Amino acid sequence: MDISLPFPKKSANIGDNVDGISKLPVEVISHTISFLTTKHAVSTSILSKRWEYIWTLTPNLDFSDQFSYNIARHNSNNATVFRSFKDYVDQTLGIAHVVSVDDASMHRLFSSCPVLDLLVLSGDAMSSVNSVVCDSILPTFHDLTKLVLYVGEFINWESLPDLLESSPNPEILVFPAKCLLSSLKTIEINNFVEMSGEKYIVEYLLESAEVLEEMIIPGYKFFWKAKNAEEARGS
Amino acid sequence: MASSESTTTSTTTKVLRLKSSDNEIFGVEEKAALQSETIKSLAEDGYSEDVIPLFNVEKKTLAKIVEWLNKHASGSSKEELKRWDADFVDVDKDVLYDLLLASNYLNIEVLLHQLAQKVADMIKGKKPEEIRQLFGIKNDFTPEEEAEIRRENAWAFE
Repeated sequence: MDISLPFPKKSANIGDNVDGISKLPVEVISHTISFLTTKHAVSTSILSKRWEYIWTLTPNLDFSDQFSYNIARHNSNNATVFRSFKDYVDQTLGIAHVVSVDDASMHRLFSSCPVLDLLVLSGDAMSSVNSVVCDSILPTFHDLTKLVLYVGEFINWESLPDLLESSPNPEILVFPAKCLLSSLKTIEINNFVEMSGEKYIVEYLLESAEVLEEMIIPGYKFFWKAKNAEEARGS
Repeated sequence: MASSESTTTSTTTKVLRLKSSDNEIFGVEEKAALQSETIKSLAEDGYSEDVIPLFNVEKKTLAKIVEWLNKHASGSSKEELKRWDADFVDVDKDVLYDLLLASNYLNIEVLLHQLAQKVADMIKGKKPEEIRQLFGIKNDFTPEEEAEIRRENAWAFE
């Protein structure tokens, strides 16, 4: 029952060691590669010419194998936060895709992966995004529907508007709770039309952002709501 | 036996007939067969009363596919399916490639996913040299080209 043959039996045949996997359609190989971490997926580019660019068709970036490296660089307290955040992402989105690479690699990743659908950025990665934004224009991520930001204490927000502008179809946007408590001072929301989901977000932000000084919603009178939330906060 | 026609009318489980590239015909209940998007659209195009020709699938592969379709339409528990699927994909690489091609052609998403996952599991944790050896992939880069790729994506080869 458990006998598994690592190689087909017809080994004496000319069919032996024929490269069957490379004959599969590109979409099948890229589907297979999508189960690997991005680091491992990129390393398949070295297998042969057939494989060189297949990894770029992968619809996601998964840097979860970079975790241990990151945790080692931070203190143990941060590591637990990281761990539970990863668990959170695992549960809500199915997969954790955390990016933390040097600037040059971020450049290459962004220019090679226009079909991303989920992007999770750590604090270090946000700085790399900044460097990409400074040097060039971000590609447009038409398929990017989920953007998760884990920026820890060193918040690098400058490139966020660019990133959002490059992602015309976001469905889920996750911010770290920490930034609301300690550093978010100004929120500007454009094209507010008072849909229930939007109102919920505004209320949530007003209740949670403890050091918020200014919330700007152009062309909209929002004083009553804001006052309410102010009371709810008990301050 | 002669009355079988009248007895089956009450349950009306329609059977589709699938023909492999080497002319073997497999009868499959409609519910099971329609897990394949390709068969579904062929059936909608009016093939359902007739034989559905699957020109890209040999009988040995189609037999396995039919086995999978039947199992996944049988109402087995999730637990049991999981065990059964693990056994199903535990096959020689050549069989795996044939199944991948067939499930891609027949557009059976769940099966394609399982098979791709299986191949990914074989690749996981292996160095490029080991992957080449495992699958018989011939390195057709010149040493200079290979060095260039390694340099470009150095972080992935650490």
